[in-house]
Amino acid sequence: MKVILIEDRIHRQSNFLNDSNVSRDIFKNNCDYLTTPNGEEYNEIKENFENGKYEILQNFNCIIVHRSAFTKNILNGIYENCKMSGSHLVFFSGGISSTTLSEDSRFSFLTINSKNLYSTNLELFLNEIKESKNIDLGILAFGKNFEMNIFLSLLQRMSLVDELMLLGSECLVEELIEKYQIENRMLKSLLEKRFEWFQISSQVPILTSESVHAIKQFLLDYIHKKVRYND
Amino acid sequence: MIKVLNITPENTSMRRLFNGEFFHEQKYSFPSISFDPSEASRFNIDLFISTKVLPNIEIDCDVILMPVSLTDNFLEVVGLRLAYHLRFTTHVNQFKPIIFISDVKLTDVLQITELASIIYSNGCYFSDVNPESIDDILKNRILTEINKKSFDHFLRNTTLNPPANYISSHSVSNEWSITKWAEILNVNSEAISDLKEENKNLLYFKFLEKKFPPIPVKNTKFLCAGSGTVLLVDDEWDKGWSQVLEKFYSHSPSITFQTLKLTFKDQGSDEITKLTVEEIKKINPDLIILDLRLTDQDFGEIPTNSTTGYKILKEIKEFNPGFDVVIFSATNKLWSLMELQKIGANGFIFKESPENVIDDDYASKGLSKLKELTESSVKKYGNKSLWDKVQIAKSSNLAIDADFLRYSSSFMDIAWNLINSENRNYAFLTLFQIVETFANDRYSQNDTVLRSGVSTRVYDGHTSKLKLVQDFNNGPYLLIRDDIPSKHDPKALFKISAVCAFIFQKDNSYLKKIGVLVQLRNKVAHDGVKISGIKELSQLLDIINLMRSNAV
Repeated sequence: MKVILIEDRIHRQSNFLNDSNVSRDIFKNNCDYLTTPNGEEYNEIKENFENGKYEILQNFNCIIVHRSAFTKNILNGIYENCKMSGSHLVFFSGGISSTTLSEDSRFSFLTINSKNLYSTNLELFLNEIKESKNIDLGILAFGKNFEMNIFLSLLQRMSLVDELMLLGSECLVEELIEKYQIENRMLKSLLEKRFEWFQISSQVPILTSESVHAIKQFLLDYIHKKVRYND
Repeated sequence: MIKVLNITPENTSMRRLFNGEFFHEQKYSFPSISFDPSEASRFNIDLFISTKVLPNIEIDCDVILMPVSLTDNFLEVVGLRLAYHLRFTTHVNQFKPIIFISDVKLTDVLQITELASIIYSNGCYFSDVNPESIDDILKNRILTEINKKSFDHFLRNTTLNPPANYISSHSVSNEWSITKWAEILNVNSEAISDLKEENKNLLYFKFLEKKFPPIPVKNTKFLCAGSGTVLLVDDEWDKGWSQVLEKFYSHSPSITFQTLKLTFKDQGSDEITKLTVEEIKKINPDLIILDLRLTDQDFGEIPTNSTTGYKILKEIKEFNPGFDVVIFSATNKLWSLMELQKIGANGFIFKESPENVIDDDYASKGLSKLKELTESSVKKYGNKSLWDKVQIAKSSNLAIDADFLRYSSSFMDIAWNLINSENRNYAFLTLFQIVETFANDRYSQNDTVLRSGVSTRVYDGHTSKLKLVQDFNNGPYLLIRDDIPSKHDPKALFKISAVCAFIFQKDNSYLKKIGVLVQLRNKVAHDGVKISGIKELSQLLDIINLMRSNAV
């Protein structure tokens, strides 16, 4: 897993990290997979981009770019290249109002405010790569609330979507997982522990409404505890 | 029948949320956030809501129903965000009641996001995702548009945080302030239009616009009296400040306005200080409008005396305190201002920022203050050259009378402080006193040069004498004449003229100037005549320099 972080405002970067009590050593400590070009190296990348050369991006699985450092054309070029290759892409800028994450099976794209990027979110994101070789932009987007976001999002889907229209009165666990996009490993494992019937490979149909209701209740309790006890 | 605008996340087979028989439902599916390249490069959720969503929900309805979140990620809380946009946008549904739905407990939602506070505002309701609960609200609550009083209350009680970056940056104040000043001055430049265009869709700016709506301003043309050069040093000059101030000074034909067009962004503080000070010396402005935080290094927890603006101010004032420097900043921290004043800041103009706004015409007052400070600065025209003359005179140490060197040095310091605090009359009298004291000393000590009452001196084989000439315009003065000696009382005019004539071998035109200075001294001391220019002060400093630089 290789990540590149392209930033032109190094002093501001330091300020943000400092404000979040994140050590600047974060880059040094993760340099085996994280590239942070500066000086000549940065200029060379910028020059290549200006000449329409984006080959360097192919060396990375995740590209994090300071949006204001480049022109619209270059940003478009970066976006197209990443979308084509399936590399994760992050645009950050001080002017971005709020985090927005768009993910599908092929391509994930995150827009995030610079201050939110240079925070413990970045630390957690890099730790996940280091430990699990897993690039998860959800962690970069929501940091320590990353799991909470997964729980809340699933709860909302289950609340709003008519399960009978979606899956019929009976379904397989596998189908329920697919339709409600329960992708997170931790969540799946929690559900497996909590419900005997929640066996991914089980070919025994389950009652859709009852199952959804049970999962919703489980999520509600879990969220409430998390919020209440700041767990 | 109540018309319900039901806003749902995209592509969901939504369950039935209320009883369709009693209410008329109009569905709107929140569009998926698509990132085609042209949008990705400038994507911002606020822009997306403003341009892709709000125009499509200009739908006649009585009440809006929507979940707390409308995207795949709950924590983006786009439903709540959309509700704020509705409230702060002029829109057919701006004041319509909104029912938020979520199965998460309201208390938990409030813990999860600050934006949830809108749920507690007038005209907003919260329900779990349950048709009975929603029906209950639809049937039993009075669902009318919120009135002005409720909206004002909402505005007063709403706290929206600026985009996170702005918390440690001055951008928001700058942008807000630029917009406000530009409005008053009717600036229509490309930079201002770009800024307005960029900001008009941002929730935070919409909020500010509603909270601090523009008020009619009587004076949009500020004419600054006097002539001189004003220099702007601000890292955000290209964001619109340059055009705004250009417009401000455009009504003052005798004021030349310039902007220091450096690329400040990520340069080091020391480098910027060096470059700026060099440029200031070259341009030699009468007024410097100086931003305090000029580079990324200036943000974060750093003391005032480490900011680039502070360093520039200090260096410039050390080089020549005659430079007038006005601090142009959003800071209103008293201790920072005191520190800046201590090293010579001549005034402060506060950029209007949301947290600084204390009255409706804050921006207008800022502009009036700038006019006042500009006029005061250009009036001090020449102070810089007077400072140079003081320094030159102080560095001349050849006079043999050590007491005179010490005394004149400290009196020149006093005179400079008086000049700098716009007390030119007292400065004149102080400098005059130095000259008079020197003349008095020479007169009493060297009667071979100046004999009592008789202005004669023998040199080069002949006798020179001073003759009093009456000039009814400029007052009496003495001339060197070889013919008729005259008797004079040993007063200031006589003594100073004699010293200049016989010790420093000055000619008649020089003595004529002495006459004018003595006459002016009397008028200033006795008739309250005001010294407005620098010519006379400059002449006195030249005489003092003459006295200090000759070994007599």
